[in-house]
Amino acid sequence: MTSHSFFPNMPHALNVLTATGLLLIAGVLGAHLLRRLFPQVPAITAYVLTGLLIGPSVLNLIDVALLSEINLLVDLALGLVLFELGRRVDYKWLLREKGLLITGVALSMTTFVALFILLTQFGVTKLVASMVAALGMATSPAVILNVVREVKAEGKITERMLNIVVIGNALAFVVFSMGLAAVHVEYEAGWESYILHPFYLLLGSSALGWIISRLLVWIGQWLGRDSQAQLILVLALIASTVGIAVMLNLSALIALLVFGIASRSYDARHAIVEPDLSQFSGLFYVALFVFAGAKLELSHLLDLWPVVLAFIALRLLIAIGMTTGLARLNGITLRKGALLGLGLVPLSGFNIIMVQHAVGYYPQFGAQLTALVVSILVILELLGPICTRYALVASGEAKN
Amino acid sequence: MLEFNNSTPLTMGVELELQIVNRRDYNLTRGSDDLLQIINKTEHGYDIKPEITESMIEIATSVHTDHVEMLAELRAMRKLLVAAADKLNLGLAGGGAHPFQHWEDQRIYPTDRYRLVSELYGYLAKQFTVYGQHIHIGCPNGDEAIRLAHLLARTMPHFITLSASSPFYQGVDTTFQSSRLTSINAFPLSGTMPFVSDWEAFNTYFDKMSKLGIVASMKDFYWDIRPKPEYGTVEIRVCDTPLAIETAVALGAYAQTLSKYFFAQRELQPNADTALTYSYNRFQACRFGLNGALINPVTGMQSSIKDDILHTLETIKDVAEELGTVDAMELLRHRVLSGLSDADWLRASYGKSGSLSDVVRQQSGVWMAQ
Repeated sequence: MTSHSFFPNMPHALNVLTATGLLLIAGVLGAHLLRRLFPQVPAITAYVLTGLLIGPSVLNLIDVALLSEINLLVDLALGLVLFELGRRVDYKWLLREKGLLITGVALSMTTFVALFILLTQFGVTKLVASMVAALGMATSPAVILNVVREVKAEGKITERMLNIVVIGNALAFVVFSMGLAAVHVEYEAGWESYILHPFYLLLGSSALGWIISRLLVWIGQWLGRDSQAQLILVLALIASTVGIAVMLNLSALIALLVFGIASRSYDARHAIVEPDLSQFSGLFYVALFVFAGAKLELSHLLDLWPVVLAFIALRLLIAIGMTTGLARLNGITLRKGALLGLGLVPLSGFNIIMVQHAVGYYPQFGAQLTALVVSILVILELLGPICTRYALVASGEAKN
Repeated sequence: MLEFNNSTPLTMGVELELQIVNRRDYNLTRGSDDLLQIINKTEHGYDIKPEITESMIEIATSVHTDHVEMLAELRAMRKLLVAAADKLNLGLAGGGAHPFQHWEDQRIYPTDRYRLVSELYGYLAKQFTVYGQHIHIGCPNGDEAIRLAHLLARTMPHFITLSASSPFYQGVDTTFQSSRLTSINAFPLSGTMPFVSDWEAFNTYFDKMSKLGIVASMKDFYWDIRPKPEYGTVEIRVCDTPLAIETAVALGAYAQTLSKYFFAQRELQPNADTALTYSYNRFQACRFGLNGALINPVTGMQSSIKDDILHTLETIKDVAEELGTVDAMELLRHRVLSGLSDADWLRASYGKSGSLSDVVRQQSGVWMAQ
């Protein structure tokens, strides 16, 4: 035994907790700095930029291996966001308010078809094109919720935006899963794969969300309306849902959305006090978006920029065109319709996770898919929040 | 000189300020603009307008002589409002104050007048997110309006007690039956009208205040009860918005019946001493409701507000019969005897559910009749 064995060996890389700390501090400092220069820029954009800076693409303070270890925290953060979004959706109202439902579905479908045609024009294979186009339907729940909270937006446009986000994400997931089935066929997997896999994902994830929502309501009834205890219960169930979804290879996205929606709509005795997650979500949002920034890769942009820019431009055009065209149906002015479309620009970073799953099955197929999605995200993660913020402020629904 | 637009005696109208809440956690939400946009798509002809903050909406009935017709009109207005609110997934609720909103979250409705008020009064303007019922009673001329305002002043504790529905404020039980009036006390021109004998004397007072630069119009007085020369009415402003429109109409009928009684009983004369007990009685009503103590400034006798209301209802019984307001008086008598005021109902609901969000949910269910 040497005399100084209590001195540690200098590690080669940061461990997870230190990296998490670094991630958070960098995010807070970055946001502070950027907002002193540009007060109108949403905090999220600053987090993403900071993440990009300290991540593997630029400074590499946090490398790829560490990023995958921090995944746990990020999964939890996403869980929180999706649950909260689910709680925001009153699906019984959505079914009555048909104009909104039609808008959400029509917008998603048009986006999908248009993007699919565009991508194939650029020579992307049909399969990859269909999956990237599917992901194009999904507006980022985290960005929308965060910006809505940041500017304290309340009103018709805000509510419609949140509902369309849910519709878009759900449809994106369904179509993506169907795409996945097609991939199974292409790679000649057994019939179990291409028939059962999408069903397993969709029904399994929904069932998981439903069961957890029943647990929340039952235990909540038993606990009474002790909001502190209920809050802990909610957090615990969100963590468990994410965990179980990962263990069972299910979709955490669908499970948590269903969990949120069902726990609100099927609570006959109104046992659950609306959980105020804002005290936690601040922390999680920083982690989530610095992480998202760190995950971004600039390298593919060099080759892919024409298709990426065309994708973004077309998606924006369709969003604004559709919401403006359907403004009447939603009882809003054309101008507010256009703003609604603009607000929907942020693309879901959850996409990366879905893609990673897909790539997990067939790495040879996934490379093109990943490169495209990541490149589109680089731009939309930075510009998206600015669009949403502008839309909410210009619609008059933001607080001052 | 302020012109008093004489109106038909005993005509009446009611204004109600309503809470706009979301259906998620039932907090106040900005919604008056969105609601009005939907409502104004049809030619409804009703008087529905925004109020000082964006989570308030005000409805006013037209001029009525019969309270049953007034109730029918309010029901039709409610139907229109409920349909618009459903379209936006919003809730509407009565109640004098929202139980757990934070005043600093409220947004001033963007009109010039409200911006000016907000600039002048600072945080008081946002704290003014409280919800009241105003009752107008038509008067033949200015002198009668002054007399009626003075005579009605003694019954203000009745109106406070019968409408009290703001026991919770900013998330806590205030122990008051009506906490709303306390928010109004903070304004420099709140309180009561000075003891003037007739319309001319009132004008002398108004001119003085106007020359001193304190007021520009009658709107600047936040009195509990004031003459409203444009309408030719006396306006009672102490009531919280009751949880249900039926109660609001009964209160209107009560004011109408009392006024008919006061118009007829010429021997009753305003008494300056009413001012001595006014604030004390008003506090008792806000704090304790039916169990509050009421001091009669003339006799010096003390009674409970409950007994005083019952006694008054007895006194005006014949007048109520002539006027056809017996059913409304019965409704009020029943509320007094059963002892279940709106404030008590809200407390009981909180006691049962333990959640103020859930209280507002039930409260909006009552107002929207859903």
